[in-house]
Amino acid sequence: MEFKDNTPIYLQIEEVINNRIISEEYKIGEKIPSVRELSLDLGVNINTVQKSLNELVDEGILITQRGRGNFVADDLKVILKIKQELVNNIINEMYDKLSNMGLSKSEIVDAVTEFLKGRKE
Amino acid sequence: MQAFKIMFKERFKVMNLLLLLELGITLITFIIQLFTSGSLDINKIWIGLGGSFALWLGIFFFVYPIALAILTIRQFFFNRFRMIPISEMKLYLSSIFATFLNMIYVFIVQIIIGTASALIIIKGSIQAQSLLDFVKTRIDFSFADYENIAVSFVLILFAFIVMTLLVNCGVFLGQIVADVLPFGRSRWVKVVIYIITIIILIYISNFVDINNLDNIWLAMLVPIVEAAVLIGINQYLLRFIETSK
Amino acid sequence: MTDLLKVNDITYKKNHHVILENTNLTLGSGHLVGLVGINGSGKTTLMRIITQLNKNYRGDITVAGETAVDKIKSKVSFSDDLASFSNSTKVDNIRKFYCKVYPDFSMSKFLELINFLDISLNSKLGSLSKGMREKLVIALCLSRETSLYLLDEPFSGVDSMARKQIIKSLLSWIDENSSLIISSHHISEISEILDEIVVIKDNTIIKHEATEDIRSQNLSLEEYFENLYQKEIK
Repeated sequence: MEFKDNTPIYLQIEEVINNRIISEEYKIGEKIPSVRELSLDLGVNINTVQKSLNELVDEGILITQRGRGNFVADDLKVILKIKQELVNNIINEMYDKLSNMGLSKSEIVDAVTEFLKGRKE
Repeated sequence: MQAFKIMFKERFKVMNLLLLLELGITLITFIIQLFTSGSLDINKIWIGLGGSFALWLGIFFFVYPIALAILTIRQFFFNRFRMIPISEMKLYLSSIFATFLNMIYVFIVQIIIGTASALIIIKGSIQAQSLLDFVKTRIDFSFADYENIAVSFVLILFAFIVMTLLVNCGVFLGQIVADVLPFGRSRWVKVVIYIITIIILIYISNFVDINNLDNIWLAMLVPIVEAAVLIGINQYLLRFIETSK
Repeated sequence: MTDLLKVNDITYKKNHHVILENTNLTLGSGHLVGLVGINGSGKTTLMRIITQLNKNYRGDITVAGETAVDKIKSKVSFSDDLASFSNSTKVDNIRKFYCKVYPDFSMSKFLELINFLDISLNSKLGSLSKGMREKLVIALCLSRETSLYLLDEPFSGVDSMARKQIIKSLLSWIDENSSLIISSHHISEISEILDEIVVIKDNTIIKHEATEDIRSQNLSLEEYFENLYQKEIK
């Protein structure tokens, strides 16, 4: 996996793991791969992976069971929280880009509404 | 132990190749000489064969110790030997011991070749008598003569050993000096330093003159002591020698 | 916790020319460290000092608590370029040499590595291309099961694709309790697997940072390194 080299990789790994939780690659309450497995899978230093996991444990998204590994929190609220954060990040990015182009808030709302109308499947 | 085995085998292989070379050249010389002389006198043939052996023996006699010295000293500058996880003293002693054993091996083979070529020449020189009778009647060695011959051989062997250790010392000292000097990187400077150091060392070791010693055993003791001292010095110097390959 | 490597106030001169001066470094175990510096800055010299191939230095080296030369050598595996082997030597004979002299050499690991790197045991050293030779050097270095690995510019002749593969797999070939110091000109290529970076400049180690700390300043490792030289240009 390719990571950006000029921003902390541990944050990028956190995003990857969050995405995998949302997409149910890692299911709620289930064990995620070990630190070493993740390190090899993502092609990143094992200490960096450990740092990400520590952060996710602090945020309550992962739970460490001594001797058994790391598990996705068995709590739906936690998952919704992740989802919300990820959605917020994406909308934040979109907002930054569009307002830099000069769009006002109402113009942004109109643009999104138009877009969604056109995409009705 | 492993280091010693490897170093012994590498040198043994080279020594045997050189031996084959010596025998090969000897035979070629003999065959060429056979054709050019044209004579089929059996005695002349024996002399020719023995002579070929003796000729190349004399030349190769110095080739072996020089080859061994080069092989031995070069290895101390190689990464693959200096990275081995053993103490410098062990490495040096293993190397020197492997070299000495090979020297003794070659020396013994050369003695055999030398004796054989002498006998062959003699056989060619005498007419009807059998070689064995000739040897029994003419060559009458007393025990003292055998002892003298044996001691001479041992002293020659010791001389080669001490010489190798001296050259080793000279190269080590030369390298250490060259590394310190600002202009020491040049190859010519190094060679000059080596030669000067070796000459100085030979001069120092000549202070003990073997010929003036009456006792044979004392005469043998001197090179042994010299060798021990040089080994002690060299294995200490090895700690300051850096690798180049 | 004892540090894995302690480089204590090392000064090294050759022919009156200063190469390293008052150089210090402390390294823990379980780290993959990048050693960066311009050509001739002393990276190889530092590695050779740690390995005890360069001898005439002031200061001291401690590896895994050991200061005796033979003990240090048993704890460090350096990427020797095999120049002292003749070109007609077969790879298998080089392997035999390593097996005999290094008690910690793992035959199984070596076979696994050369299989991955596509090197034949029967090839003669002289017949290997530069890239293949470098791969062999890496395989021999990493097949020893020891505490500290030193790879000195290990892939200059290896093609870009193979380089990426090897870099990724370094993660699996180095044990979690060991450390690796790797010097390379391709900083950006090895950047993701490193967790620490050491910079040599002006004859000494000027920086020893965690790579993530650098990235949190929104700098890539390459930019960080270049900035250290920009100050002089300005």
